[in-house]
Amino acid sequence: MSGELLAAFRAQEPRLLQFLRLRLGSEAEAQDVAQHLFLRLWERRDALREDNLSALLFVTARNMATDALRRRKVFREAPDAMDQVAQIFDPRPLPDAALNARQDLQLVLKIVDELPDKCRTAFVSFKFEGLEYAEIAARMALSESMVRKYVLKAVSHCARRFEELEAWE
Amino acid sequence: MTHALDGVALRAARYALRLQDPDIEADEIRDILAWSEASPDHEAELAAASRFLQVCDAAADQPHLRAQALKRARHVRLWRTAPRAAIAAGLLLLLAGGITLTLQQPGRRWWESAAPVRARYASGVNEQREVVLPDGSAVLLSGRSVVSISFTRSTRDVELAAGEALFTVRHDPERPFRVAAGGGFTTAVGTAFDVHRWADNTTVTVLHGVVRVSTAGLRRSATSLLGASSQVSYSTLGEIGRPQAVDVQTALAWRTGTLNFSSAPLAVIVSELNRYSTRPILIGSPEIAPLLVTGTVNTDAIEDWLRGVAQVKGLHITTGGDRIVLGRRQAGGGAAS
Repeated sequence: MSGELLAAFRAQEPRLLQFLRLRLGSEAEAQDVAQHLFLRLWERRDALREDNLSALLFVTARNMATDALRRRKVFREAPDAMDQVAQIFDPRPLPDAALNARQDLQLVLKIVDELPDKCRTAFVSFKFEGLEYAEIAARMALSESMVRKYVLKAVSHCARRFEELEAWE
Repeated sequence: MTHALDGVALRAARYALRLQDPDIEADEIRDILAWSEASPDHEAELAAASRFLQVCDAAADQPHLRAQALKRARHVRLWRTAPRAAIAAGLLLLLAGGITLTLQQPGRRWWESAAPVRARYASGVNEQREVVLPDGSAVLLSGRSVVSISFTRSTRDVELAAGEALFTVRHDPERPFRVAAGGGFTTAVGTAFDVHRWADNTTVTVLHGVVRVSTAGLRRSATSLLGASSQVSYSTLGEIGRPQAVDVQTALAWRTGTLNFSSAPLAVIVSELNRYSTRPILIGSPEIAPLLVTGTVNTDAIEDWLRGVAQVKGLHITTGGDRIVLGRRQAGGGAAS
């Protein structure tokens, strides 16, 4: 099984890396998780079935990326908690593979602000409040498909604006 | 909006959102990637949309930024999360527990004699050894670790000469518990923390309470307060890094026989594994020493894990005889022998 696992991994590696890059936002982290993912499957290689190796690679990559992002979130949330316990705390922003600085975060809020009212409300409720399309639709007295359209418009518009403005910062 | 949005941008937005679904199926991932590979335009739009969503997530994680965003959207009520309240409550419990412990201490206190009490404790390869110190504090030693103590009426001095140990300190405000390691000191009043020496560094992880980490090295002196679920590292030169939040279970997974490495150089990993491996591990070619590896090792299956590393990094590994050697891949493949 070790030979098949290695072959499948090498064959899917470019796509696995691309998926991880998109999910995690950095080349270094993508490489890191890809290699960790191989090691994790390697440990269980005797229990793997040959016919679904490729799917297993992607599912494992998906799960490990989700874990990495969850850890990042805990990482970011902790400073507030630590302030309570330790009076001396470094005020500099935490290291984050995907983001450089607070400027990026402020920039995003500024760009989201540019959106027309309903579009902005739908997007912010979705992304910042974590509501489902159905809930947002109920709140805004719109159809679910309208909410979805607003969210897609928001993402595509803001993604372009973010790219443009990031270059100037 | 000033841009005319075409189908590609909207599709990229849809796909970027889909990729964020933690339950997305492998087939859908591959279909999305295939679309991305179809043209540089697709790839660029998908990358931009994914990046934007990531930054949004990062902003959403900061309570004040999230509040700012929600304020600007109508039909939305602001709500606050409760981590501050929870931490404050936890801290009170810790202090209350500490006070009770001291009040209940029976009998004469042994340290009222003047002479320091000294002792040295060492653990074997892959051994976890728990010792109870004269003051009632506990030390859990990891593999091949050495701790020595010198307790007096006013001090509880401890030295971690090698390896890693988890200290659970008996509360005694009159006698700070101070652990010297690698050119620095970790001082606690009543708390639980782990000190780990590796290469030229020492890493301190706090489970409960607060410690003060200080160094007086050749380069500089520094001090840092460290609270629960956080970690800081310092070098023998005296530089203290930035405190970081950690998941304590992951950081202290050695207690259950697993070691976690995150982008650690192979050389460091090998020297750590040698505290647990029955057969010594050597790096045969110096150029592979700085290779970075991320992974989780079971201390019962070190050799097998190293074979996996050799596979994925294209290294050569020999396991015959009384040692394990990792080397550069020779021409013609990185097979194990």
